[in-house]
Amino acid sequence: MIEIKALASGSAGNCYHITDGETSLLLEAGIRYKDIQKALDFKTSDIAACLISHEHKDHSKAIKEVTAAGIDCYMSAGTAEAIGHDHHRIHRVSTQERIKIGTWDIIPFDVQHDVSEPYGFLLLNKSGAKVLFATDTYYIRYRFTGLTHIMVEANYSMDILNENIVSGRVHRAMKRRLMQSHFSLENVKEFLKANDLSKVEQIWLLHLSDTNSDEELFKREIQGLTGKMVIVP
Amino acid sequence: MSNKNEVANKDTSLQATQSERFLASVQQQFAAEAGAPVAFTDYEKTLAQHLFLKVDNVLKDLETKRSNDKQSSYTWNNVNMRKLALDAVHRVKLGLDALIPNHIHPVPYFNKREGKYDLDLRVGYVGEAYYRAQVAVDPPIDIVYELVYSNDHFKPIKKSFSNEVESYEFDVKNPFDRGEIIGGFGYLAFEDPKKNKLVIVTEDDFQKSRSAAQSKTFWDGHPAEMRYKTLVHRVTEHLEVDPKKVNAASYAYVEGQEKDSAVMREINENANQEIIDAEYEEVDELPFDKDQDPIEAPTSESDDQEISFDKTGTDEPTW
Repeated sequence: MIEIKALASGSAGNCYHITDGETSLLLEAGIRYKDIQKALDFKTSDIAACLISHEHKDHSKAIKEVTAAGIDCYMSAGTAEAIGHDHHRIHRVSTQERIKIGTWDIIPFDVQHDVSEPYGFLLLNKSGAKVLFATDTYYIRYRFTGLTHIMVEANYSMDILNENIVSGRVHRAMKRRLMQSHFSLENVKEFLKANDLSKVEQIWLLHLSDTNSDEELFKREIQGLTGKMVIVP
Repeated sequence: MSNKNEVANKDTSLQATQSERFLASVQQQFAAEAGAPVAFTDYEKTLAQHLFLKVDNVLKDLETKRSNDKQSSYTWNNVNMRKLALDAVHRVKLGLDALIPNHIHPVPYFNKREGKYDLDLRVGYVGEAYYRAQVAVDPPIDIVYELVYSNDHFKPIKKSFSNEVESYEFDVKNPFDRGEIIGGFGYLAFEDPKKNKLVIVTEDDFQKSRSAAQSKTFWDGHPAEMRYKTLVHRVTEHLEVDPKKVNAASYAYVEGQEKDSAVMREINENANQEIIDAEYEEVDELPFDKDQDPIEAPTSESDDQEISFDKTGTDEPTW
């Protein structure tokens, strides 16, 4: 049984806790460590590892405290270099190189964001769960088989963004930056359509923009498209 | 029995009809999309007809070369007219003439979402220089573009207390052996010469453009031409756009869309392609690199280290 808990999701900070009952992992450390501790009722000693997608602070803010707490952090070499925190708990991994952490096999894969070397992660558990975690990417190059849980960014809707540009709420220059760094609802839909969703139990929509998204609309549209349980933390 | 001239006349009249239908379709689609009808002047109607001819020729040419039967045919029926109509209106409003070389390059790519070809009406470097000069706050009276070779003499004369007009010296010392390209410059001349501006583009700048290009084929095959095009882009970028000008909206549309379309194309071509088909493995076996040991996660015990609050990572703008 996979349990996912969103400690924070969005541009203010990102951090998720996932466990299969045996091995617990943190996905991102983009909030203060004491907030991570609080959100987990100070039960952080059983966290086996933390996966960091890229160096932006809303994904890596607590890295020093996390490593100091004895939690191993896995990321790309480019991300590690950009973070600049030299510590023996920092592990540099390569794209599609399998990592074994407790009862999980983890396969990092390259994603598309305007940073050094961003990764998404595919988490495989021995009881057959397959969790996809991909955030801060404007598209995903890959398709996946047999996913059971999808945790994917849905940052903005192109329609809402265009309306905001027309109304002057968002500057046009922002549009290009968004288009080349974050996942739009429209492209998330294409991603979901391209994948086999037959085993999917939950779809988590992450990192919604405060300005250019609509939580209810996003949830309704993805539920309508997939017929799956959709969670927007 | 019809002779060759009659056949040619029929073709011309058929094309004329299709061209009128294209114009009507563009106006109709634009009205539906933008919520406002568009009125073309006679000159703009001519430009729209030129655009029709150019696109029609490109489609016919591509259809002749199409070798894959499974691929949709390059016909008007398979063109996303909604997108084309919007793009066409804005290009016509900027005065771009598809029959002038390097004004407009129609490039189709298959849009899986629409199930049709999107026709990118890419604006060539001549077209870009033309419309930027049109919508500039202060339109230049002349623009000079020159690539500089290693055997040429080039000396910039910058504006200063003792020199009111920015200028340059340029001399081709040996026209038959100019050496290697080492850079380029552009000179924007205005009615008030005190506003004249010299723009210098280095070989490093050219290399940056080459690196940014999706395909290196043109750069490697036509190095001088590609440097010249880059030079034109870099120089005309210095013309400040007047938002009050009647076609400034089309300018903004075309400028933005050129870049947006490139992103959309990239997504369309690369997203959701390769399959990662992996399962949990009971044994420590590496599917990707058999020679390397798997990374084992150490136990998570406290390292008892001092916690530092130094800044780590980088900030991202808030969305």
